[in-house]
Amino acid sequence: MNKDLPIWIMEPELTQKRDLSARKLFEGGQKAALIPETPSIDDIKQQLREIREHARQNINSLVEELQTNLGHQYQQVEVKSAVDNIEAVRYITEVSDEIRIVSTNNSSIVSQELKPGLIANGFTVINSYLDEFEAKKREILDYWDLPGLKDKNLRGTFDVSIKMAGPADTENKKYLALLGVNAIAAEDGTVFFLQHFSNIYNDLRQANKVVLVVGLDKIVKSRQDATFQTKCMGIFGMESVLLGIEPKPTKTPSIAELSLPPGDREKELHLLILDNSRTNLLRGNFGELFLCIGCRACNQHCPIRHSFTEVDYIWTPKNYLSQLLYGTSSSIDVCLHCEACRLECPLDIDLPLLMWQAKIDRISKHGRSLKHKILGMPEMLAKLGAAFAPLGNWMMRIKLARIPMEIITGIDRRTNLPIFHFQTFRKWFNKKNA
Amino acid sequence: MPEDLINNKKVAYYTGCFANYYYPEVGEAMVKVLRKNGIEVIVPDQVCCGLPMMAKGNTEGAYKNMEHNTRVFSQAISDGYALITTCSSCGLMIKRDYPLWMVGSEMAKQVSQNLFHFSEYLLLLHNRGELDTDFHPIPQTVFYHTPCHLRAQEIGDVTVKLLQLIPDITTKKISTECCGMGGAYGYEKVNYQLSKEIANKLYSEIKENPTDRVVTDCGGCKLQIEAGTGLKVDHPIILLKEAYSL
Repeated sequence: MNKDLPIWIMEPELTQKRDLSARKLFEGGQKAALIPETPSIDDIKQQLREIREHARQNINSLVEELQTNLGHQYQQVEVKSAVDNIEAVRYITEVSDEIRIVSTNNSSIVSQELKPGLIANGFTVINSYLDEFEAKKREILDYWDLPGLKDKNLRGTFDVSIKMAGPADTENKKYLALLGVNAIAAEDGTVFFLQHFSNIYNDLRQANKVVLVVGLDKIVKSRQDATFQTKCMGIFGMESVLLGIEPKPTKTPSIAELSLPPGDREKELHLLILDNSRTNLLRGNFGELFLCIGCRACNQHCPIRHSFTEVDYIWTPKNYLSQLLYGTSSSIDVCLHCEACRLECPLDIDLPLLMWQAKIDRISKHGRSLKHKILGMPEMLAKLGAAFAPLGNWMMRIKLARIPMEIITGIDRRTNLPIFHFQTFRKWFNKKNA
Repeated sequence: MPEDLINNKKVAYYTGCFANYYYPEVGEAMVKVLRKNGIEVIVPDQVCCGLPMMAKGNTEGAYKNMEHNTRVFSQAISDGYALITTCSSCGLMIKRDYPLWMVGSEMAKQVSQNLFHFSEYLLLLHNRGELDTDFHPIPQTVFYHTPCHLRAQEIGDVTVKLLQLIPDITTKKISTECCGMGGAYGYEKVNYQLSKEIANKLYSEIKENPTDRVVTDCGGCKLQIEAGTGLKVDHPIILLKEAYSL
């Protein structure tokens, strides 16, 4: 059997919600009772958790099922498995022939894990999403100005709006589209994308070569599960879009701005199944990360997200941690541990706890700096300060004294330090109760 | 269900480092407010909750402290005392992290379940009609900053609700913007600039909403706000003490 690979694109869709409201309004009475109640956000979270747990527990059989189905049903798709990003980039380079323009979507698997290797191999990597994002007017500036979408039922506001059978034949431009998929059904290979603008559809229509990248964590059991998971990405990630959370890449022209020649070969479709440390995650203490659907809700209230302007992908606390675990970053001290990410995650992934764990692992391998050894004994410092309170407080006000302190402890000389008290509260209490 | 120790009118106070070493007025006010309500207070022998140690990678030290505090406060619970703290970060650490780190420790679970943020505890008393609400009016406006670690406890706006019991007080603005201090995070030279950039949004909010008082439950947030705005920042228990004219 040889069919075209089904590629379904989900977009924000208000029609369903509007229709449901209209039916409730007009049908009323007995008929209204027949209209199913829309599930609560807790029900949605529960269902999502079940889908993700199933994926986590059955990843090996799901991969096998997917590979078998792709091989039997869609022979025009070249399927390749890559152990790591190096192998993946090598494959993309091989299949690209002389093409040097790569267009990606905003998925972190391509922008974070594959892009650096592609650039090193001489590719120009473009993300047309940014061009469309720039064009949208964004009025919501802050988390607290959001309309509280998470608490409203938005299930009906995302739906599959485009169903493609393989990449369309209408246009053929000489470039390679490298698209990280948002979910894929093991039972029949249906590929799902969530699209807020039109960049993914355009790439699927226009590119001479399309490489779909499937992270192991994107494989779920059924088309129904993949639909639901992709929908959840939309629901829980919508506020990130409203907030204008976007990557800050080196500006490149978009595909629309480039005058690309027509592709001189027939269109090709490749599907790359990428592990890149995901199975390692499952074996260690970080298996919870495998549950992540990449909705980026963890980013919405992260206080440090505004400050990562040097990265060219959408920075999230989860990506920050996974970069460290994949070995592509050595930073673990930037997180403030405010725990906002935990509160936002639809899967209740305990990112703060995993950050602690990663920090402990790192310290056990690399040790601690002298500064952190000193600051890691806060009560001893406080006791010293209290014992010599008048002198200590006087010294802390002398700028010259703050310089050696800055060198030894790492405490910035401009910091507003607290005032030590010779009579601590507990001394006061014990005296009063003696 | 947590053991119901509220009825006993006995409290073991976990001060945390800030109220003990840097802001003893908070501890003193807490004791006076509790005694005003006829509650017996003890301050057991205690050490740093371990959070700032963990943040700087002193895991071994943090574990020792967790074990010490767990042992001491578990005993207090056995003696019928409810546990309270005035520090939102210590509160989060003990409530949430102690059972996670001390896997399988029943004492850690017990301590976690019986620790209340001071305003959470006083509101529980109020809900039972047992809080003395004979407050003197404070005809002032308040900018209240919710510390991240209080928000992360998921117990709602307990401090705001408590302050609103004081006659004539007006909570003009409740902010949940992070102050960027993160314990000792903002002290460090490597984070100083980033910490201030995070705080700028909160500073702007405070400037745009001038009030008579700026209030927060966290010592680190207090320092950061005071440094950036030049305003004096109070712990909410100080306002309560004033309302009781203690």
